[in-house]
Amino acid sequence: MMVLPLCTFAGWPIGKYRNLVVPSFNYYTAKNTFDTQGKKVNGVAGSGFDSYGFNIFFARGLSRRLDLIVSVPFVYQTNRSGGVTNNSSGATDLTAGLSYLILNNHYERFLSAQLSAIAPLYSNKNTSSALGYGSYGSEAKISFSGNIAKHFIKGAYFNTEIYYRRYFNQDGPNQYGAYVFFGYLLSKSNQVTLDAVAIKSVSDNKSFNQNITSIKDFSLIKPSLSFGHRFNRRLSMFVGGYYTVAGRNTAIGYGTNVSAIFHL
Amino acid sequence: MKRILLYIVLALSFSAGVTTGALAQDDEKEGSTLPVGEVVIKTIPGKKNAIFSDNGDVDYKLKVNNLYQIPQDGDFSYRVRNDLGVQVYEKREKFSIGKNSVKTISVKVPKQKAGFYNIDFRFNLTEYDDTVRRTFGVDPEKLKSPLSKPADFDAFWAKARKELSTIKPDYKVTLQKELSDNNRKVYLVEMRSYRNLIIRGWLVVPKESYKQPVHYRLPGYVVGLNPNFDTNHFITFNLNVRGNGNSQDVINLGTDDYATAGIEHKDSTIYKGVYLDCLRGADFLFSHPELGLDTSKIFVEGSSQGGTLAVITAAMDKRFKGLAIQVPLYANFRLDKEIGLKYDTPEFPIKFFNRYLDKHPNMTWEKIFSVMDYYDPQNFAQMVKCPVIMGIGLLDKYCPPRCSFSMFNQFGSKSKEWFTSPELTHEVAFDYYMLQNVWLGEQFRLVN
Repeated sequence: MMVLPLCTFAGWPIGKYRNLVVPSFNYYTAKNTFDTQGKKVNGVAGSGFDSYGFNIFFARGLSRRLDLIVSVPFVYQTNRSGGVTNNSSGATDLTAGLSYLILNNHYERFLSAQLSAIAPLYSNKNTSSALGYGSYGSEAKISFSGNIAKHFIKGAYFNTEIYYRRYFNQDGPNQYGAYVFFGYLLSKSNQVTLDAVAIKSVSDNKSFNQNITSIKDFSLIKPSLSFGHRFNRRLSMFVGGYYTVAGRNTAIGYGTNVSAIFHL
Repeated sequence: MKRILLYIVLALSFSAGVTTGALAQDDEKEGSTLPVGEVVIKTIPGKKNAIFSDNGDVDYKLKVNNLYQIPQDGDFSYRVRNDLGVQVYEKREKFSIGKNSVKTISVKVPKQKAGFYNIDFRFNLTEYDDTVRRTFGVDPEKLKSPLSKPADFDAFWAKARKELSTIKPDYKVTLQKELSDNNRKVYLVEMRSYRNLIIRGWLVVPKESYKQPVHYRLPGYVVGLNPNFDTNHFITFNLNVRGNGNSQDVINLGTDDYATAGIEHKDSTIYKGVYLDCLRGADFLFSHPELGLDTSKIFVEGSSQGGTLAVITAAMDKRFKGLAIQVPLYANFRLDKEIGLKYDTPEFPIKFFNRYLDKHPNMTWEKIFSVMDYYDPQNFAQMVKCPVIMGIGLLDKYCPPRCSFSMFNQFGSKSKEWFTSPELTHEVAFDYYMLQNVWLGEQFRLVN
């Protein structure tokens, strides 16, 4: 299961009438795995998983408190196992939802709740290289974000999220996630960000699949580090890398992500 | 901090006792020993902004912290009066609190009609007597107030603007190198205004490649404005109207006399020139896009007298896209006087008019009103069509909340909102300015 590190803006109200468009490219590769006990297992020769993903994230401030959020990912992936290579590509799971600002703390820190629906934009006819669970789902998320107090760290901001995601297949999965993000402004135009996501996915289907987008029962922790540059008030870009540092019944993946943030 | 002070007082008391002990008799020492302490009272309105509905009770919670080392017993009462001093409710009850402890009291006032009310929480305890005064509002948007617009109001201002238009502005924009840096340019702007007077302002232009929205700020009562470097998203233009800041070279009145200068006639009051100065400053902005100004995105803002100036500017110049005001002076001036004279001691600005009347027996309040009616911002409010945001302090005696809302309710804008600071006087809380930034972001589609 890939998790795109695209949350440099998540949790913050978009602002009434304003739009955010974030195209991003993601490269992910995995050869080794964590077994069901969390021990590292080296991949055999000729096996592995690679994907090239492109995602469009769109958010619009409907009011001072309510934002519309839509995310559409596309992927081209290669799954190699036992000398057999399977390729597949297409749009994957569309996510669309509403984020509501519950309260703010002096307009500097924000507590928001988000409800989203997940819809697969594919059919899993190619079961050996499925693009996802092929299931409708929903997600509930609470996020707390904002500026870190200046007397503590100047020029820093944060975002924290917890979420619950449910896929409606008989074997789910149910997913529980936590996300922490820290951004630090190096200058007016440059910043570094550090974030980490932890996911626990629970399902009666315990099987491991070399095509990691199909694994339903797993857990992982994946930190990432990015550098961001603001070209102007409307465009910023982030480049970063990530690595799966711990997990269970999942691939040890790593990759890079490039995203552009357009404020429109 | 209070506890530290308490310890210091105790320590000093102790050392003073030791020093004088050799001379004092035991019974005298006992007789002079007073308990040291304090009762700290925090008031928490049931509504964070202390604005309630006329459909329900008004409620407060009081956190009473007894810092004395002895229990406190006595009476607690609360009295509610409207802003003209008429009592509408009172309740008295017994109250006791243990030594060094905290107690919470729930206060309920039966529902009231739209208006603003002063509530006095009074404690008469063993070692402590005090009154905590707060103000709450009830459905202020339902408040209605008659305008005091003279029949020839529009004609008067049309003529005044025509007079202004006959004066060539002779704009002079001078780069201030010593105030400029790599991120912004600062200009001194000079122009001719009503009666050919030169007025000045400060233009700060952040170095950006695109045309920027503009923040036009007008000054408070005899307050000199300096360059505004808070330039996150805006070019700022701070204008000093005649008699303020660097526009004091010809007219330089003290605060006591400014309000009443020339008050004898609608054409001689200083405010005629002041209001026209604001319009002249606006003309400067809208005629200088080449300085990087996005003339389609200019808002006008001010606090206190500056709030009034901003109102009349947005009313008479429809090119403004937003109006932001805090604690606006002179709003519903007739009511302002009525409320102001109910205070134990009249406050600014009413006290200046009172002093003027004392010195000018031929003048009366009615004569003053006959002039001020042309300058009361409430009489301009219906002409304001752009979005408005207003912040007020509920304890403000200079600009009573009901006066501000009288004007607010007259604004002709489709989009208007307000913010109250329940525990502040002639100022608004930091949160207001954060909200104002959010509001500006919405008006101008600003991005961070």
